Amino acid sequence: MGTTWVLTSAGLVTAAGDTPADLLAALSAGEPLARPSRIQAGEPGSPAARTPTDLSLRSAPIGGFDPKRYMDRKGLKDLSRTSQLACAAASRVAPAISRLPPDEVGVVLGSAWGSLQTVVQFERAACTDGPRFVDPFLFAETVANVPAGQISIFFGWSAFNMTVSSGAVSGLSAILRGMDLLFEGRAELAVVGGADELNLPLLRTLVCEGRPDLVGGEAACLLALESSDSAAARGAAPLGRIDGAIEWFTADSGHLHAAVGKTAIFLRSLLDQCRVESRDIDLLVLSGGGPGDTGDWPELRAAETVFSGAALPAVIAPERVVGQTWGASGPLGVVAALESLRSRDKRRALVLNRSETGHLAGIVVSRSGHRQNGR
Amino acid sequence: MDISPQRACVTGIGLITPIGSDTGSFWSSLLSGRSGAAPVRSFDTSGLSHKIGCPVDGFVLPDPLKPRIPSGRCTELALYAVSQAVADAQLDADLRESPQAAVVVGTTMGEVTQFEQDRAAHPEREADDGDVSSLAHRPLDLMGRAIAAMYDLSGDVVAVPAACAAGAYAIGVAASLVSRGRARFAIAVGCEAFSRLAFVGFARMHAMSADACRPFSLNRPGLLLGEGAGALVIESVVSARARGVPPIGMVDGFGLSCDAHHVTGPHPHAAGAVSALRDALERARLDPSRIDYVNAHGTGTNLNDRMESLAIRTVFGDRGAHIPVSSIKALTGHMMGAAGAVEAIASLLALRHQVAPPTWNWVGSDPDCAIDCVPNEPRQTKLRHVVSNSYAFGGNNASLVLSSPDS
Repeated sequence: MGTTWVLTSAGLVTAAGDTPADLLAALSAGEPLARPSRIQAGEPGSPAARTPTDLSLRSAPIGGFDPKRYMDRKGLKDLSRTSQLACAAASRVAPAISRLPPDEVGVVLGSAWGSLQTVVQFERAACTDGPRFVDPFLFAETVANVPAGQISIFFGWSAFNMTVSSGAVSGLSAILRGMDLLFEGRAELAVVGGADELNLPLLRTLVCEGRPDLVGGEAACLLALESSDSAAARGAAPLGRIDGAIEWFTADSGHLHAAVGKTAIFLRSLLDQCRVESRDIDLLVLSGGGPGDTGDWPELRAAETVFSGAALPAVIAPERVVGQTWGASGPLGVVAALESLRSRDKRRALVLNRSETGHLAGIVVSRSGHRQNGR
Repeated sequence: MDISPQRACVTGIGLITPIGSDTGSFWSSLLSGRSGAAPVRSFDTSGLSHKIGCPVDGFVLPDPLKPRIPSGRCTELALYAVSQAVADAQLDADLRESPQAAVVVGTTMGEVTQFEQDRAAHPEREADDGDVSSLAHRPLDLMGRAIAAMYDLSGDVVAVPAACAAGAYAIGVAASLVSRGRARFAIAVGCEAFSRLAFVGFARMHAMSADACRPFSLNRPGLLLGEGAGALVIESVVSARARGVPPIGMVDGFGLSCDAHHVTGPHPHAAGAVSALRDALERARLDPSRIDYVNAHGTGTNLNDRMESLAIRTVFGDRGAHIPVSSIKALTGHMMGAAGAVEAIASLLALRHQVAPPTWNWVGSDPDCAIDCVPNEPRQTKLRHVVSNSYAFGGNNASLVLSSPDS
């Protein structure tokens, strides 16, 4: 018998709010939260920008985000925004697992870009003020694994600490790594998910260079992952069960039809691993903007191919509402799926993340307590 | 970690370092004490109090290895090391037949060097401090994708940016994928290019030496930064046997922990390092008494070396003062993301040659480092099981147990 993995708690910080219900409400309303964004005077990228600053960038920042609302800890203001977001999301998971010994809890965080803004700040300070005047604490925050490290420092979770980076798939990849590390007996529970900050210069670059429809976002989303036995032993009620999860890399040939084919094969493999048919899926969470969004055309076409014998289930696409949140996007999809399954009495959802660089990750989750009806 | 039949072994190694660009010259340098320390020329150090590092001088990636996607020095160092490892493992033909190989890459700063070089080459853009186009095209998973593209691989591509423990993390994750049957082959890589960002950062932390790195030594002045890459081909013993390729060594244990204490400083009581070391030994199913040598993280900073000595004394008990321990960073400098992988290769070479490489530049005993750090002289000794330690920002700790093929 294999291990049954369950998710027992979720913490999130998004432009749509910081509870699963907030997120689902925003996704259900379907109204994009993005607004036109300009790089303001005084912000990085404002003076003498090489690339046009009058581009119609669209992004969904988390307005008024203040980490002190989440944690009463010293030093929060010195952290990079990615670290702040990650720690804020972790603070929402922490109460539910506070009875576990901290050395039985590990952390795996997915992040596509780490603390890119801090890298730029450090470089700017070294150039303009001189290297002898750079804040050494800023250096630590440039390092990509430090947001995950800050989570462990704040909450004492010491079993393991890992950061993974695979573009927009980073967050789902972190969930998979967490399952691996728990399977190896390294902890009772893993806090897994992803975080990325909004970076307008990065968005500007990507929009200028081939992704005109990209909407910037930022978020952090973390989940408590453990075996069903562990959850039962400590009396934790699962939010949902993981039926299966896989991750692939396929070098992008640049041909959309090839991408559709590979994504379809991937989806079938995921369903096979879960021993379910496409008709058993009630909800699809795609990483893209949904129908009509040409940038995510392969994802939708692949889903239509796989679900050809059955009606395409309901599709939700968090990116359409909260923008591209990179490392957080997959875990946000999982949270949205679990909340949707719970509130709408559905059974099973498939969450797919695909990056333009060839990473694919998918996870199938079932509502807790639902009878397993796979083949 | 599962033991046989899915026991993971290393069948190919490759590297590029400040003291050698192949395993032969690297090993020779480790024994002869040839240091990679040299003035830094890749960026302007005139405003800095420190001017010495351990760069890889004269590195030019051969044309056939040029990546198919926009990259930078870190990727090129990685590709160079991987090409050696794949050849060493006689894997070229097998990869063409069966491209289902995983790639696991560890790095600290990735291609930040390219970002710095692009800005230095275009001073008119200095004011445009939001120009992140270099990094937008070179995210942290770039190195893994470039390696996969070189061999048309279609297995997992995983980037584990675990700072200065990243190379060890890459080996551990790769071994895990093999042990669990998730990949027949896994290429584990640690890589780092010399960056001004890291140089300035460590200088501002007062962690750098102005001349030499003297791990575990009295009055040690700090670390020197280095660059390089180390690559290991990992597969199951069964796979290696089926291919008729002799293992170089076994990956028997991968221990992990987090200090959860401070973002840059090690735990004063070495709690995390002790935990990672014990975890690795338990996974290898080895009593501490079975370990014959420790390849230390040994950065040469006061805090790290004191903490690591305490961890060794704690885990090995009375033997802690006598077990051979050495740090190669005296010669290579701290190669950050590459360090864990290159040091694992040094450990495998130690097993192959039955020699503990010394800790060079050692000038006297520090009571806080009461260990046998094999000072300044290689030591012939019987080696069957060895440990390689790696520690990093964020409190990330990793220990590997590597064993000789006949163990």
